[in-house]
Amino acid sequence: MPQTLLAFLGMMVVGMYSLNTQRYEMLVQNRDIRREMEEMAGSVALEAMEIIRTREFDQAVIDGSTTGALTDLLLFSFNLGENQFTTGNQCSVFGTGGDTCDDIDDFHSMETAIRPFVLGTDTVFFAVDVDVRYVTDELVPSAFVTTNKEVTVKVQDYWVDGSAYIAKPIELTRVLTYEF
Amino acid sequence: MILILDNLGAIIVGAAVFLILLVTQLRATEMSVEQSTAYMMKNQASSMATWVEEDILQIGENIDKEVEAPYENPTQVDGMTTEFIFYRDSVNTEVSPPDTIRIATRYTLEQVGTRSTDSDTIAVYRINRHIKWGTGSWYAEGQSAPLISVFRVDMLDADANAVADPVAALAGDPLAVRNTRIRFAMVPPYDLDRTTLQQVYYGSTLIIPN
Repeated sequence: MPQTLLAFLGMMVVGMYSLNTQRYEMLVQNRDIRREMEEMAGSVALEAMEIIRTREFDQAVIDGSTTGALTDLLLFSFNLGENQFTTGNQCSVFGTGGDTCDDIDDFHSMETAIRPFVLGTDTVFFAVDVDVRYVTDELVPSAFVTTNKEVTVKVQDYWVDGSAYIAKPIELTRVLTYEF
Repeated sequence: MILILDNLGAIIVGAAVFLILLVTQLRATEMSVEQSTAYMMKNQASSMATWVEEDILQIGENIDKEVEAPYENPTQVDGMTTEFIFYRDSVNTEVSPPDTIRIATRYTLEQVGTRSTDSDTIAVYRINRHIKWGTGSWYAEGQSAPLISVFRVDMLDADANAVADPVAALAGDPLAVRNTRIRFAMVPPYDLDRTTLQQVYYGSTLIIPN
């Protein structure tokens, strides 16, 4: 009887050790894959940011109604409420629809874009969301029109089955300033 | 024989315990090696990204893009960039008139072997970096680790789409090319049967405004 108990105990101990090792391996594998996804997501965010950065500061600049003076602030897009800009645009540049998003705030809360990340023969897809808001010169969110628009690009890996490796979307923020 | 039969249960249990321990220990060692190779790979990738970034940041230095393109079109073969040449000018303002010398940098992709993964065989490359001063000849000035599995240089327009013929595009519109994007991936220096990541993409896809 003691021998049986000892044998049982021995099996239990090595079983637990083996289980823990396998569990650790799974954690390491998941961590490695997640890190790769985060690296790619960072790259996709940078690309999206570059697309937005090349746009005009505001529709008023495109319309040609600005004069390069401080009074231009009165011409810039602004809505009262939670969203300072129009939302839900289907920006053609991101392939989500036919809207011409030609100034920075056109991308605010746009329809989620799915961007491919091509690496050799493999492709991974990422969902891209964008938030835009006015900030002060001290980079504090502003409830009024300023000459600074803060753009935040959020990127999450996208899989058809709805799963995701990245627990929280990667965020990249830049402040784009109107030049007088 | 009697001794063996008397202790058959203990022998079976002992053998099972020994086997489990052996397999677990082997796997733990394999994981440790895998982590070390992944670290080495990341280290090499990070080092390469640093010098590539320094090079690319200098593209077109002191060159008027409205007059000429500060690079030649990257040579693309099967989705890989096999050659990329770009320029910058070094200006000596201590003499009058200022003396200008053109510095050309060339990246060439050289296949150094192949690597087998679960699904297929991939080619592995090294990037050779050459420099040319003025009308002199090319001389070797550095190279990457021979672990490159993907290397791609693209000139991007305002919509982050690759421009097919950047030199011609730039001749028509100096703002046609907005960024230089470089992507590369590496394979681990040692092959393991059960490696989690058989290719690692190095994060900072270099997007550098031109």
